[in-house]
Amino acid sequence: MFKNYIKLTFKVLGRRKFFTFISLFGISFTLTILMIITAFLDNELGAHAPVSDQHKMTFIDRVAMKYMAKDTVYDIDTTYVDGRMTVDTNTNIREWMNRSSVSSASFHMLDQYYRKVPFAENYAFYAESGVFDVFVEQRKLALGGIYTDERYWRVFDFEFLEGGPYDRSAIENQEQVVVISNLTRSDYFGTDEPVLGREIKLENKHYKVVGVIKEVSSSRSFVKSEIYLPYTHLPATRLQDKDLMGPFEAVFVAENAGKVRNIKEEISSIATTIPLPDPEDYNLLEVRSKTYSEAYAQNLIYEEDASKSKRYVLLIIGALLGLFIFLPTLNLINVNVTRILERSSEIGVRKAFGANQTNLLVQFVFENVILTIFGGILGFIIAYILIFIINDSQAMGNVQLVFNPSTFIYGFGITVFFGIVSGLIPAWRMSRLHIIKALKENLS
Amino acid sequence: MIELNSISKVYRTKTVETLALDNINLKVDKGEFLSVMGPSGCGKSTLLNIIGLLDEPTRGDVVIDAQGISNYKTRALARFRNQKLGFIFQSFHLINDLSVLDNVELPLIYRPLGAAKRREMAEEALESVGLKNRMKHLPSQLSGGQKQRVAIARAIVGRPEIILADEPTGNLDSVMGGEVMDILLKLNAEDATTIVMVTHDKRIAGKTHRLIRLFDGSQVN
Repeated sequence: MFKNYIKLTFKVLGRRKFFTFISLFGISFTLTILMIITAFLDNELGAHAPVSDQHKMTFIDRVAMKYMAKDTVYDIDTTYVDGRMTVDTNTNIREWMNRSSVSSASFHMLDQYYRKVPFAENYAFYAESGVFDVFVEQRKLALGGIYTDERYWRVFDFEFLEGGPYDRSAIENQEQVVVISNLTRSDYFGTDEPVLGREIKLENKHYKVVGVIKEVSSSRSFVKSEIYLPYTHLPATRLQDKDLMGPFEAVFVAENAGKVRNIKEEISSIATTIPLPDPEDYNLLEVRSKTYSEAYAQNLIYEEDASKSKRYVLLIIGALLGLFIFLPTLNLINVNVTRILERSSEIGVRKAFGANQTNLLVQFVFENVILTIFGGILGFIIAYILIFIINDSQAMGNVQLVFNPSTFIYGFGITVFFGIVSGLIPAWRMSRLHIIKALKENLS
Repeated sequence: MIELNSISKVYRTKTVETLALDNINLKVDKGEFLSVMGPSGCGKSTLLNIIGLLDEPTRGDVVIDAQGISNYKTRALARFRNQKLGFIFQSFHLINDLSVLDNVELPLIYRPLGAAKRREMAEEALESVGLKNRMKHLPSQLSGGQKQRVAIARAIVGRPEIILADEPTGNLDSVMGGEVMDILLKLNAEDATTIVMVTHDKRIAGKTHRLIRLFDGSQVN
């Protein structure tokens, strides 16, 4: 029976070239867009180096100090009961935020309180340096830097093209060493050849290159930098300062993804034990922790509560993807209804000769799935070519979209969904058609 | 073989009610070749559709091969049609996208038969209507008479006990109509297939065992 359906499918598609073209175009175009979106999302949010452990990561990037004021509100209600006036009083204490200050954390606070967070099997502290202005052959290079500890290189699995990270002793001895990206290598040294041991001059100090990493996609803003230096090169005051606020951020890696929630709770719980410098000034400390995806979402839509940002972003992405799937599906259903209506006589004949509703449903859905699989294959090919062009032209900066197996699986799932949904509804409608009506009329 | 008891068929729209068949009682014996005649709109095709279980009567019972059909659900009706009945339509209703052989095979794909067996039976049916040499052609490559012979092959391929033909020669010239009629007569004579045929042609009806006439939905002598 299926051989018969396959034969018929190819004949029908070949004969109705216009419908076939419209359907194939709709499916392949939509799939191409979806594939590129999923490739982009996978690139942005997927567990790739240097954040392969992102599902286990929790970040502290903001510390908020607040002064919470309290007001006592005294309400008096007067009412008449049985002709007599009665008085009802109510006292409420209302808490409200009078002032707040938000910044990244100080080294002192992280060092003192966040070195032993339960459930974390690894952690790292780091601080963004701002931009170093460097002059090379009368060209100005603006190099972003990150000051890191030695653990940073174990938390984030950077791909080293040459050399390796600096170690603990280099940090403790304030050795003038630096890890650079391969783009910095080309920009600064004007070569793609090894530069290990060569020096780079930053703010009148010479730093020896000990490692070159593969450039990180600009979407990984947490870890993307042109240069990485030992944090001990920060001015001593920034490390010794007893303030709670400073330039540092922290990342914690849980034993497993399920423990991330526990780490977040522990971070908040530890915050309640940290004494505030001047309770008259600020009386509440919040150490804000977020997962990788929450932090990413917060970069797009800022909400104080990062989990809210994530919900909004997911909602928007979900709605857009839904729209991308829903609208073409509706269109395909419409095209398919017309296509199947043209074949009412065939439906009548098949029913007269013994086809039941299931036989017809299977036949038309099968035809549609074949068509959508073709559209899918076409979509994959076009998406593959487009991704190649996007990467090659660097249209999205240094974001490199990867055509990977998970994208293929999403795409294939979407293709089959298209095939079944857009075929099922018209097929179901047509399979219920009265035989006489189907035989008599040209319903289209 | 076929028994219609007090069959009436009323078509209703929002404003009009049309009585297509009025209290028809009819028996067709096994192996009989019956023709039905009458002016256009008298209910001939409706009668054939009811016998063929393609339409339901408003009142009355249909008994085929001693089985009351009234209580059959859609799926059982489909199976019954597939096993017992074959149809020939005036406008052939061949599927243009399929080859002659595939068209003839069509009733068999709804039976639990292997591809080889189906092909063998379809070739046999095409041979019996003299079109085995055209089995790879598309319907659009055939003449009207050939198309109707393909439709006959499709009707007989499943070896049904009853064939229902709705003006099978209506779209054909006299020579082609004669050829088609010869095949039907041969089928009836050699295989004892029961045939009910609607026709406008008195000469063709004269070749069958019995003729009934309808007028305004009623059977007349």
